[in-house]
Amino acid sequence: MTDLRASRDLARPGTGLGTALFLLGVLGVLAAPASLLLGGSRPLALALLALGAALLTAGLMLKPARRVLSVSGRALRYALLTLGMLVMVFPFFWMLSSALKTAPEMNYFPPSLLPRNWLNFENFRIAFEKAPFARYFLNSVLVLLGSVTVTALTTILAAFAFTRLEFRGREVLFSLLLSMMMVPFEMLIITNYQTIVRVGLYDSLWALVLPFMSSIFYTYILRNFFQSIPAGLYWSARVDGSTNWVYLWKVMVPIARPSLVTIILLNALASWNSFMWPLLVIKSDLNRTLPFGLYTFTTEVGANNELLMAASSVVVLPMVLLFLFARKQIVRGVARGGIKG
Amino acid sequence: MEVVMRGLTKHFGPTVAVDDFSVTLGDGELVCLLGPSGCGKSTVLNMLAGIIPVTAGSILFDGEDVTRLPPEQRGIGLVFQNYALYPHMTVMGNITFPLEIQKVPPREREERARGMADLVHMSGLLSRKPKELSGGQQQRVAIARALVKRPRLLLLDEPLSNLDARLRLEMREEIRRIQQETKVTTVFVTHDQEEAMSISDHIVLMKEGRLQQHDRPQQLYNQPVNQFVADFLGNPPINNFPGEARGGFFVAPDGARVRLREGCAPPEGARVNLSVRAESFTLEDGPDEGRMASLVESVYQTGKEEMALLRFGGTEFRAYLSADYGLKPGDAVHLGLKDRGVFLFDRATGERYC
Repeated sequence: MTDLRASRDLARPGTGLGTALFLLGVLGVLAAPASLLLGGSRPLALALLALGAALLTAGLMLKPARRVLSVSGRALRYALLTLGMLVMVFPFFWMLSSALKTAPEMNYFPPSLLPRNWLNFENFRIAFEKAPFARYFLNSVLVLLGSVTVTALTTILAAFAFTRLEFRGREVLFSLLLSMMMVPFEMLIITNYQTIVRVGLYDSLWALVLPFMSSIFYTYILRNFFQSIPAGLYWSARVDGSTNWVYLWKVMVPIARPSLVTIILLNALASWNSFMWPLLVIKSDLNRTLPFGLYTFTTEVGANNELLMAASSVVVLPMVLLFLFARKQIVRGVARGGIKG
Repeated sequence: MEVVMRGLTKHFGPTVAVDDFSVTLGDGELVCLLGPSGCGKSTVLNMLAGIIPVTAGSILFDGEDVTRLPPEQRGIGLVFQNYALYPHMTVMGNITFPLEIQKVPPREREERARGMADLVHMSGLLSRKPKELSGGQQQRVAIARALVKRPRLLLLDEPLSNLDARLRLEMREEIRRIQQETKVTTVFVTHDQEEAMSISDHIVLMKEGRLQQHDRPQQLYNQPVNQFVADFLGNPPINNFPGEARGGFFVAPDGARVRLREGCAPPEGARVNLSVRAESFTLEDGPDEGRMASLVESVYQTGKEEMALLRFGGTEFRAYLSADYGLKPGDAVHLGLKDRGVFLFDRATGERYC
């Protein structure tokens, strides 16, 4: 019924006057911000906007051609999406651009959008001189590799056990684990801190890795995926001679690869960005990770925003690269999780 | 390989899925486990595979007790109803997987896989992924994968029920051919009596977890041990006339009677079912003690014969009759009974008198 009406509408020629008024209106509305940017006065812009809107409404009432409407609708959609993208990307752009500016450039008013010299890496050099960013970077990488690898392992093993191994109290145990997810991280911080101090790992990289070697949430996600793999596959493999161990690594893990990649990426991101915990358990400069190092750097360099931006770029860049390379995997993982592939 | 099941029993909580089940399957045979759904046939198969642990009883493979052996040590091949192919591997990868696990050298692995692919007519599609195959092709791959490790026993769990009718017929013959070429002892689970009748050497018919009869298909059809077996096999289903046994006669509730075959001597007054297959009636000229005076209700043409719907002793029944007579509804006819396909069962116990 609705389809029929839509096609009739599409075939409708529309009035020439309506189309003309509508297009003029669009032009007027677009001209308003343009006139502002070109130095026009505010009343002029407002007048243009009002006139444009009036023309647009009049045109709509006179039924412009359907094609014109659908094209302008699409244009509007893209305009909104572009706007959203600009809002998201601008801070990153500003960070990179500022990192390449000199100190005087930073203080221009109105601020300049682009750096004068695109190859001015001086800020990076200074930042790396003022604080051991290379060391922070290495620490971050070590902590990330440690916690992500071990978490992936424990997650896979736990998810498998909760999916395929038969043992007494399996479901109860799993519900118990899930209920622990309700405990906020901030509450665990105190006990974790005490534990770390007692075992003598305070102010060491181990303190950053040890509490993050398993994850209930990721186990839950992976278990859900594992459960969608038919039991027939498991028994086929068992009959074919594989043990649980072989089945897990040769069949289940390859099938769950998209989910696993998503989990690992999310985990890497969380590890890379973690700030609060390092702040608590790390004291010496050489054991700081990037976010923490950046924080202390802020207080040291004070108003030198260009140095701060250079340092920030170094912190953010690896994760941006990681995302760019693994984008397909992330999207596929999320989509697969949704439709139970 | 000879498979012996002795007093096999399986309880799931309070329910008894398989009850004191004892059967011996001969070497190189294709045996069907047949029965209505929920009769425990799949449970038996899974116990043979080692997937479901046994509550009581034992399983012997060529005299070796495998009751407590895990699946991977039993030397069996298994094909599931949904084929259970590994979705991330190619056809080749799927077939070589069991050999990879057994650490067979790569070259031999491939050789044997190619041999198997030939056997199941899948040689041209070795690099496909399972999702690029039709149901029948997936089925072939699943069979090749089950056979490539040269199992002592091949287990097929309702392998044809996911296929459409035409493909089912084709795969049924394929399975028979593959089984005869490899001579592997095979257990085939199905609820389709026609499927079971057409491909198996022996049929094991089950009901409510208990063995009913274990015999050759034709024996099962011609010599059912009880009412259930007679009812389960045959299409159209066997005709059952309720009544009593009196003085060598079967007497229907309305007094209609027919003399029982010689040597058929149920206890006097026993409540029985006279069970007659549709093809076991003959059209006779006149009345006789051994003939059933029946009334034709309707007639259907089936080509070479006529299928008639008739009534005797208040019971409606079906009979295949020669088309030569040109029967019409309302005709009174006298039907004789052949020796084959005529049984007398106890109505309460289902036990067969003759």
